[in-house]
Amino acid sequence: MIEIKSLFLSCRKCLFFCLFFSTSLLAQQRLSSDSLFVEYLLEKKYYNDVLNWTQHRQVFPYYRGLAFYNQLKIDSAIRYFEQLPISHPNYVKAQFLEGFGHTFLKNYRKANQIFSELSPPDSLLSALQSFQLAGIALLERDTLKFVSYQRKFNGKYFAFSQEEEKLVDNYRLIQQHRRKSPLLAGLMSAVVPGSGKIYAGKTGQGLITFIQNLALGLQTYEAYRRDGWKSPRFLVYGGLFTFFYIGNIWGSTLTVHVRKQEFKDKVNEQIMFNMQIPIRTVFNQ
Amino acid sequence: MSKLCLICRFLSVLCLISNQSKSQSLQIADSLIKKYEYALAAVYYEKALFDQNQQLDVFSPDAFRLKANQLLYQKIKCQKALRIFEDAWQTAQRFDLNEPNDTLQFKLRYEGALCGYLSQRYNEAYGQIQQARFYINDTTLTIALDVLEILTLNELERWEESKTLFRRYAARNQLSIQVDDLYSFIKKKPKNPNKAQLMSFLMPGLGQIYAGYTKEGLVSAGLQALALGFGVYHVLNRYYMIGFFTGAGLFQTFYFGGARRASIMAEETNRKRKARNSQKIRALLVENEQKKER
Repeated sequence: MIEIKSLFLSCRKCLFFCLFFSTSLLAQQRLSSDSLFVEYLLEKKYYNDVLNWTQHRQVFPYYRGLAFYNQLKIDSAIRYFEQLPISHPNYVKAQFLEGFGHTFLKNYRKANQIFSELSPPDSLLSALQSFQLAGIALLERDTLKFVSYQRKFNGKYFAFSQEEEKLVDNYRLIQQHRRKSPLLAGLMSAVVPGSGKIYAGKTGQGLITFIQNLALGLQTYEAYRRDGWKSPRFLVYGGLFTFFYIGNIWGSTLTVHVRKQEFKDKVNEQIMFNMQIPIRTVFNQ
Repeated sequence: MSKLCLICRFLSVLCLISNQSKSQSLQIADSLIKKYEYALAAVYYEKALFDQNQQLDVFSPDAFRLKANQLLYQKIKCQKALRIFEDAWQTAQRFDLNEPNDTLQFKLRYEGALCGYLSQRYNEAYGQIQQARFYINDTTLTIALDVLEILTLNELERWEESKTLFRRYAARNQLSIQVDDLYSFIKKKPKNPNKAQLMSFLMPGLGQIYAGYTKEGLVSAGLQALALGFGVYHVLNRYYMIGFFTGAGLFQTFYFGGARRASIMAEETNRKRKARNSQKIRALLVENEQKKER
């Protein structure tokens, strides 16, 4: 009787053991099938489907992050990449994407912090880390820092050897760019209307401004010469001429700022592009 | 002993669940449709497709194709409900059209053409309709394409073909409509934007009147006359600078601007006419189809 009871007990233990393992195995199988499905959706670029599918599954922050990243919803992507634990198999990739996301959002300090604190597992990713840090330094116009990172460029990695050269070209472009004075542009336009705009680099606009002011000036002079300074005709044309003349001076100083911003935006866009290509190549993203 | 039985039953249920999990996606998707949760339902249909692709050895090629097409069809239904027609069109491109059954093949081809029309890919929709007519010999089926073809032809402004087809459709459905009257607008030539511009160059405001905007034409002509009058008056009074720069300057602005605007207005008139005529025919077709359904 005792033997039967012990046999029954050992059977029960065995079944408990099976139950425990089969449950966890099933859960694992389910998770792996779901992961495969999400990867399939990402490969097919069904990003909305990825987001719908993972909406109530908190175990997929990485995939949600990727879907948002590909939809250029960088804020949301960063929020999900931040949730990844260090042990996650795609942690390093997520860190690179998060860092670039912050760069995209012009949050250079945070991007710098992420890339600096990253410990890449191999030499390729280490070189990519230096490359990204160099890009951020250039975006911040911190040339000293850029030069220090640039020393680590070796052109050894096919994935971004060209981009290294292009980043150095961007650096040279920034160094060679002549800064123009808004004050000088305003003064030039006060002397010869439109000349400040030509100095700022907008030749067409400068010529049009000159013709506009010349025409209004001539009409004002004609009204003054024929009717005197008290006449309504002179007052109307004089008012118009003053308005356009002051506008021309103010516009010239503004044009210098606009051109400066245009140049900055153009170079930043090139730098960002050069920073993004290696990430896409290395991580197939 | 009862505990042992319970554990055994639980384990067997787990095994069953493992086997059934593949078909679960489909059931969940169907239940989500009933709850109008189309976005999630569409993903579950995709999941069912994915699961099916993982089990290639389980299905025969025919069963596989039938099932895959059915799942895609359901997914399109969700996408249409969400009004994401471009996605629906992309999904329709994934149909396996090697379907020997004419009825099923027609259902898939019709869906493809419909998605093309809804996603405003009118040329592609027309191509799909023609392919359906070519590959499916059963005219009792292809007759259902007439409405879609008329609508597509209207969008492509192929009015004559649309009229012929409508005449056939009206005869078949015994509609008491004078097709010639319905399509009488074909006789009206569309407004030529270049002609409108040229007319405004020759006589200010005339291009706008030709395009159907009489008031705007008169305002444009009036403004140009005023500017010219201002200039002439000042030149005659020996205010040459003012006459030239203000009078002539304003006149040339109104003159060239008016001509450009006349061309835009001619295009606008054509667009409005097309929309009005298409809508008139569409309303008739929809009304008749709804009557038939009742």
